[in-house]
Amino acid sequence: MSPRLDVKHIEQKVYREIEQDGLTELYLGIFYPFYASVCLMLYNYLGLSIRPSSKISLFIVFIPIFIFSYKFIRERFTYPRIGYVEKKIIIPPSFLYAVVFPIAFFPLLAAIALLIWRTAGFLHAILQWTPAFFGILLVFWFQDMVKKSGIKMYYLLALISVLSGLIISLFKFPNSMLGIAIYWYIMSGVFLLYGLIKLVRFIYKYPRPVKEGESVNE
Amino acid sequence: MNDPGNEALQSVVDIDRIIHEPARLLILAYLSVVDKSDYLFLMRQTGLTQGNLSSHISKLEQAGYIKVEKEFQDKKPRTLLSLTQSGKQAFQQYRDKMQQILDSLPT
Repeated sequence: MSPRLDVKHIEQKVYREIEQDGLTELYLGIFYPFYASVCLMLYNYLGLSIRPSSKISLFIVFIPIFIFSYKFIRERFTYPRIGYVEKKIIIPPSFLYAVVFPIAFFPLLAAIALLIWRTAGFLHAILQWTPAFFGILLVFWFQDMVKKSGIKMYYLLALISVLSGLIISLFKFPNSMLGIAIYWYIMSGVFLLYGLIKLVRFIYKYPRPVKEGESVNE
Repeated sequence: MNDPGNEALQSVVDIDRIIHEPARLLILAYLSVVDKSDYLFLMRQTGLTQGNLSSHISKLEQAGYIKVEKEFQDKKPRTLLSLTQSGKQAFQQYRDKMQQILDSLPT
C-alpha cells in the first residue's frame, strides 16, 4: 500500500463499484423520454390545443415510482452481488444538472418570456436553441461524473451531448418543442445503450448473488 | 535548537497504532468515503477474508472508531458498518500526522 493514502482514489473506486450495474444510466434513459413527452405536451398547452394537466400530473406520479423501483432493484439485484453500501447523503451537483435544472428550466422560461413579451414568437426562438443549451448543461454533469468515478468515457458522452444539441438547434422545426424532444430522445438512447453495456458487464462479472459465508476474494 | 525533522520522527511514536495496521487503515479509508456498508462490500474492496475482517472490525469497534448495526433485509440479517465521529477525527488526525512525517523526511 502506498504510504500516502489516496482517499480520492478510493472514493472513485467505490463510486465505480456502486455504479457498475448501469442502473443509473438506464433510469435516466427511461426518464428522459418521459420528460421529452412533457415538453411536447407543454408546447400543445401553450398552443392551447389540449389540456395536459392530467398527463403532467401522471408524469409527476412517475417520479416516486422511479425512485422506489430504483432502490428496489438495487436491494434485490445489485447489493446481493457486490455488497450493500450507502452513499453519503449529499445532493450531488450531477443530480441538479441532469434532473432538476431541465425540469425547472421550461416552466420558468415559458413564464418569463410570456410575462415580458406577451408573445409566443420570442419563446419559440429561445426554444429552438434550447437543445444546444441542454447539450452544454449536461457537460457539467458528465464532468462531475468523471471527477467522481474517474471514468473518461463520460467525456465521449459529453461530446455527443454537445454535438447533438448544437446540430438539432440548427434545424427549424414546425413545433419548437420537437427539437428539444428529439434531443432528449437521442440522449435517452445514449444513456440506455451505455447503461445496457454496463449491466451486461456487471452480470458477466457477478453472475449470481454471494451466499452467506462464501469467499469473495478473486 | 531542535531539529524539525527529528521532532517529526519523534511523533511517529504518537501514531495511533489501532489505525496504523494496514488492514484496519484500509477499512477506515473505505468507510470514510461512504455512509454505511456491509461486510460483503468491505470484503470485496479490501480483499480480506470474513474472519480477518471480523477481527479487525472488533478492534475498531472496541476503540470506538466504527459503529456496528444489525438489521434485517427480506428476513435476512445484515450487518452495517459506519465510522463514528471519533473514528472520523482519528482517521483525519492519522492522515495529517502521517503527511507531516512524510513531508519532513529527507528526499
